[in-house]
Amino acid sequence: MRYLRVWRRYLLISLALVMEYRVNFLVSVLTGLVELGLAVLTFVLMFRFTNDVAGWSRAEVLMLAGVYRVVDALITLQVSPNMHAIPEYVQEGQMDFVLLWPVSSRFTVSVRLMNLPALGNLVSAVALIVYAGNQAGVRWSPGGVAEAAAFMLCGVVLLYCLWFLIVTCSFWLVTLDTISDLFYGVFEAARYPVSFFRGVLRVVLTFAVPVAFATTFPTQSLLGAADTRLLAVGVVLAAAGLVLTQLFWSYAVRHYSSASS
Amino acid sequence: MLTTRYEYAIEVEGLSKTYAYHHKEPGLRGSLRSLFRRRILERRAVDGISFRIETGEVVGFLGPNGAGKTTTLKMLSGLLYLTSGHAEVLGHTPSRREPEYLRQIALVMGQKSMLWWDIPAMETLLLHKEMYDLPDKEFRATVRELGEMLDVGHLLGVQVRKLSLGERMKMELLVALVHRPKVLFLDEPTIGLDVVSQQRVREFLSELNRREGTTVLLTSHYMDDVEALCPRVLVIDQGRIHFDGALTELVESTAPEKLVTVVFAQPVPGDELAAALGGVELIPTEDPLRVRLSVPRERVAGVTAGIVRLGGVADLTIQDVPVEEIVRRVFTASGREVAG
Repeated sequence: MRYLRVWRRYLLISLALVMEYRVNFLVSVLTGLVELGLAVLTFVLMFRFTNDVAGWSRAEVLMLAGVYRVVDALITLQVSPNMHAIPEYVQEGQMDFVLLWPVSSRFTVSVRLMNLPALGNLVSAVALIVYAGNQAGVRWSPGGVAEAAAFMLCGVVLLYCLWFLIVTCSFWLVTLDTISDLFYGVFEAARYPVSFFRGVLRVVLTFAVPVAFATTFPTQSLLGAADTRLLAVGVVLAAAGLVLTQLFWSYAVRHYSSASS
Repeated sequence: MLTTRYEYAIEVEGLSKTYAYHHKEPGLRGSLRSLFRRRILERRAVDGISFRIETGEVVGFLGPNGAGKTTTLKMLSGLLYLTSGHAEVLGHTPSRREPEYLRQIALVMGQKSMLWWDIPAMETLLLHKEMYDLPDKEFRATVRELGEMLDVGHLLGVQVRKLSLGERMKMELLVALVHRPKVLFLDEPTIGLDVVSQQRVREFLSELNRREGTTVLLTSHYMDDVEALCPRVLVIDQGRIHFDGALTELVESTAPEKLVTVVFAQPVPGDELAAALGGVELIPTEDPLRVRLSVPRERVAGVTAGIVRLGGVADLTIQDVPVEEIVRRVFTASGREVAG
């Protein structure tokens, strides 16, 4: 409960910051829309000459693009601003305050910043899913939507854990910018269904990098073609990821040397 | 008096902190070499210090840069793990950072801000309200009280970046104290502030200590801070404590002389003056009418009487050696135990 109230406060602070920079907000929302347009265009062009790729029709791939953008928006909203900031806290000594609040330090560093303009992307991405879903002849059901949402949540949590694991290394390393870029590069692969990839790469993208949980499986849920057992796997993986990263974080914090003032 | 689980607010025994760092030779070759074969060196920032601080005491940490003051403060607040030794604050082991412990302490650093730059300080206060789980009524009463004491109550709704440096530091204190900590660690709280703001911060801290009985451990470069606030000082250099005791005791043991300044109405013949001084050394000044003397404590009365007997004295002041000078002496006598 207290953690929820703390999160709410951070949300209100982010809102206050948005109000402070309204133009910035508008530009971000517009950029999001342009990006969405370009993404749709890519797929439209891809399917100009063929009706399906690896068993996915045009409308289905468009849906997947929508799901990818929902996950991307959630990550941009809550995960990436914080992951970028963590090495900074360590370098500049802001971690001092984080560690001295009577709230889990891992929680604070993970939720402190929110990129609210990403909410615009979230809305447009949902619109894209609905549009493409109707084209693909999806029969919407609360169960399917809930299952898709659960898959996406697992995917987001897993992606967060992976990123958090990397960023936690900043207690030992000085700069991590390039590693964050690598993370983005791999996540980009999630725009395409995992079945576009073959062999080892597919296994890696599904489990090592939980891209399939974030995008392929939720789309299949909406299409009524998902393997429900995979959801159990996803939940177990996400829980394990959270525990593992917590252990690593606690260990890393012991190595904090607190940049001198 | 209430019985508490701990006897002292802060108890430190043989506290040490060693930092490991890599030695890197300059240039490309050095970089490559250190990539493959690293020389790991150690630096003892704090080297086996021990002291005890009672509840409600205000203690000043004096020492040059790199003496180990900030490192000690960070170990006591729980930010850094100790390399060896034992530390207990309010009956807790700081490095465990138990929430009950963290609720009772605060760390304020003059060079780091926990305020959000672009929004009013009130937002940060409300965040702290949730973090420390403060009841609404209590929170509002505390904010009002501290806001009045610090004279920043009217600035709570102003964006932090629009505040002056002094106002921001006071705001920083307000935010840090909103959960009413029992122990306050201050690292250079007045750094960079103008004289008036420094004065205000000092007055606030001493009032806080008087009203709430807050135990305060502070480091500062400004002797005025220490003189105004701390009856007791710890002098630390190269990770070791060189003096632990009352400021007055430090002054007496390290500076057995007083500074006497005399201004004459008209010039006094040199031989008459020398006779009156009886061997006490003169510190030359540019003004021929002004005479400065460094007089051993026990001879101050005799020497000043002799000077007055010469006649024509316009002004006479007797001062202690400035604390800056005393601390400099402690450090130049490095390695030698000065007192305590």
